[in-house]
Amino acid sequence: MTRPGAIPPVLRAALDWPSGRCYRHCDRPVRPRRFANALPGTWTVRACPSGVVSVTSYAEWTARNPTADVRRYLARGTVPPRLVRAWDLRLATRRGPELGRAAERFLARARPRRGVRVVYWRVYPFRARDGSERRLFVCFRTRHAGPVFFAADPAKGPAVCPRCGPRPRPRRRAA
Amino acid sequence: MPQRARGRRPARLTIVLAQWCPHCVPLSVQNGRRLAKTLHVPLRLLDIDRKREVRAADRIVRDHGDAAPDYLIPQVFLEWEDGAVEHLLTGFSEAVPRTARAWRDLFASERLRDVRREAAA
Repeated sequence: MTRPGAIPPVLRAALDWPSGRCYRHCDRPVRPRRFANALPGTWTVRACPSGVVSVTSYAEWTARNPTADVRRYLARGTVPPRLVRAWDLRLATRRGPELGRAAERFLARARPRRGVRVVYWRVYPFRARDGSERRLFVCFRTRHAGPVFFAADPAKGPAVCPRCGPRPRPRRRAA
Repeated sequence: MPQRARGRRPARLTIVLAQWCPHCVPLSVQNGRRLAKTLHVPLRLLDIDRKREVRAADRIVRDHGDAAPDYLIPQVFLEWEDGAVEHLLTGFSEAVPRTARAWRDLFASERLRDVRREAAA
């Protein structure tokens, strides 16, 4: 039994979009990664290999607007939480006809009638007080329960997660 | 998607957009023109950067679309002769080609086939 609001496989397949490139950063392919938390819907983070986030989305099959919950959960995993601003959260409703025939039929049959509500979180690059550029990064290491979002200067090399610190250097073997 | 009684006709297609948005121009303008032609209705473009148009844009998004403090564009609405407004499409933040696919799916949808039938009735 699935939780109310969870995205059924037919809708998940219609919402999936595996391709895309890291815009105005490295132009490398972004990789969609899913994660779960207490909310019933599906979270997806689209980030490049360096961890720069293009967009994070949360999709729920519901008639309600999940934006407030999304903001609360994102703030828990973001350092500092004030990076999650209402201005950067945008809602989209997918009603079926724009999702392909299978999803359209599925949603038309479902009772009560409801669409898929998707909340996108996109943080555009911004300037820090010292004038350097900041972008949103994500860390997926398993030391923390979920992904950690933070802002860092992409010009300063690998971004360091504020929750788990720098990556350990590989051990050198003796000759 | 609400099913409508026979004899009701679509009156206008409205797209809320901005000129700088690649999901909007030219992609949604071209598809909007095609859709409006298919349905034999005029196309109204509401540019959120134009003072004269932004009020109407904000209103239709707030009342019938996906509202947010800085809402997504494009948003596409079908207005009916009886005053009903149907939200058809909101752009996909994932990528411009994803929004292009949504337009293709919309053109091939059963809902649009029904609307065409109603328009022709």
